[in-house]
Amino acid sequence: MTILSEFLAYMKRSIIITIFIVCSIISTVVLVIFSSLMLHEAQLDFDKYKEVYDEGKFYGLGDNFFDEAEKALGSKKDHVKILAEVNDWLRSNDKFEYLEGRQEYISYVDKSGQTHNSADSYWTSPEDIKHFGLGVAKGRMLDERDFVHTQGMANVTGARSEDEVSIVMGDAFRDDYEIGDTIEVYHILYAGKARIVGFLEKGSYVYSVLTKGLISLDDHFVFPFFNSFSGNESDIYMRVLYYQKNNSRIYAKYSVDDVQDMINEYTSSLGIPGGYFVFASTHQWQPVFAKNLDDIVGGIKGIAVGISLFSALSLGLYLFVKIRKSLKYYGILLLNGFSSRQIMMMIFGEVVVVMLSSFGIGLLISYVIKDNSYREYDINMLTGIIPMLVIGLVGALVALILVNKYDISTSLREEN
Amino acid sequence: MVLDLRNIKKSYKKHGRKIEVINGFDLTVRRGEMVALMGESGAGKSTILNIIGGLVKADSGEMFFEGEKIDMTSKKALNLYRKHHVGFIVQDFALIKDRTVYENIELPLKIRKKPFKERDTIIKSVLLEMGLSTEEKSYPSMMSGGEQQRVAIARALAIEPDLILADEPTGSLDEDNAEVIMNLLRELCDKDKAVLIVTHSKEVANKCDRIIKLKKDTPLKEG
Repeated sequence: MTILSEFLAYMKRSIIITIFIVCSIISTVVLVIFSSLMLHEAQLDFDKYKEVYDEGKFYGLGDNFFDEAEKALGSKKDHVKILAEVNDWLRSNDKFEYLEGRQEYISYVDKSGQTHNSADSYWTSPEDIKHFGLGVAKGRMLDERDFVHTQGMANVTGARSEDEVSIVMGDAFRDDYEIGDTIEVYHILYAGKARIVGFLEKGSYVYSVLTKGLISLDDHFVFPFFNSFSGNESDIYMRVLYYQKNNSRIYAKYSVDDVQDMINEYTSSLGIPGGYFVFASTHQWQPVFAKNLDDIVGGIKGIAVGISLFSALSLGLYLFVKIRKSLKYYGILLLNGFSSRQIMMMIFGEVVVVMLSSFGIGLLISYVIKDNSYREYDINMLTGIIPMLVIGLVGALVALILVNKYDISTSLREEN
Repeated sequence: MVLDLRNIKKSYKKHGRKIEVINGFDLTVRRGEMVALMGESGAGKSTILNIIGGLVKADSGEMFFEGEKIDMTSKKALNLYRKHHVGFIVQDFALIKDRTVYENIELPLKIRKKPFKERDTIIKSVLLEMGLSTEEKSYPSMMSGGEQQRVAIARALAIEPDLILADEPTGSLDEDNAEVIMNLLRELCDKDKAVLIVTHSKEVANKCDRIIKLKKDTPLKEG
């Protein structure tokens, strides 16, 4: 008890600097935890990019039907069929991959009957699923049967489908819905019931030509981008559908000009030259992105190491000042019956208390930030312990060197 | 014989060089005796005092307390010996400034795990003995040098030591206060305690029963 009460009295000495040190280490713990999380995420993103890009590039495909091209298409007797042929060729050619997929806003009615507008949906294709390796954590993934539109009435025609479409939900909806639940949805391509058949694996992503980067599907409704039809659809519906299906992404190992030439050659053969254009040449920014990501990762590492060093130096300096300032106090304790071992315990006890309280508060703050963050962080305590150990060891080393360097017994002759 | 030192040697390393501070020192002190340790600066007076007080280990030699050999190689043995038998008085009093007189005297008693009631009785008794009964709530900074040294003596006495080591106990005091302190130390000897005083002052030394003079780099035997 005496040691404890004397230890508390010792802690109170230089309390302002102690609080500063505790705050400094708290900041270190929080920053290192989040730096490492960001680093981890950046590394995951980097890995994803490497995996997704491989040696190819993503391009966007847009229709170009105005002036001559529009006249050419309009003059065709069955222009919808031509658009469908273009789609077939895009999906089946062996020169590049056509990855049909679009982000669309939908409206839907949830289980409680509440209507939500502008919800994120993603319309995918079998090629898209394969390329990005989309899979489910629960239920089943969309398969060929889901891409057949059995009763294709949609609100573009002002009618509601009596059939159901199968959908897969992003991971964020797992707590709110069950497999087999149906949701009422409204979109230009489909209005009717959507039955949930599965939940995507957390962290599923696809490439977007709009954002020129990867987008997470965690908060998306994933719809099948219909490929075949068992019923008769109106011309206007089919035209809208193919305008959308033919405005998607290309993944190729050729240059944007080469891909453009391939498409021009094909569309010319159909009598609609210049009907489509290729854009968003990712080959220009991809290396820049990779370099930037490398720089960011390096920067984060540097910040984490820098902050840790700063805290270690602060703690070392603090102990240096405090031990020097307290030498006479230690001497008084020795004269009064303390052993040198008890004094050492007091000095190291302070390091331990400072480190543990800083780590505890730092961890608490990290959890509070995490809970109030829109991103989902998986905080690992070990991440915070590593800098704490480094800082604590440096501090303890400084204390040990100083205590061994100074002769406490002579300190009583020094002026206070 | 309360204290018996035989052939004590002590050296320090400074800038890689070994400096012999004490080279064979013998000393005996009896109960009720007041011994002065004098000598020029660097002669090792304080080092000897620290060795006797168990604060510093000697390189070699033997130390007997009440006829019992103290293991000078063991920090634990030295700590125990210091804790139970030695009281210290130093030139600048070694009081903790942010604690009251009462709390300063209470510190060694708390370290020795004395219960509150016993602590309180002892503190009041030594304060009365030192003429400081009205000062128990005062802080050291509010007191004169003489009063502070009396608090330091009271604190040393509180643990009822057999041996009192005083390092320049009057060094910071005027003549009148020095006289008071020396009289108090003499009274302690009269109560069968042994007092060893390190001093530069001939007046102080002359009030002791014996004077031992130390010289640099010379093997010292009790004179």
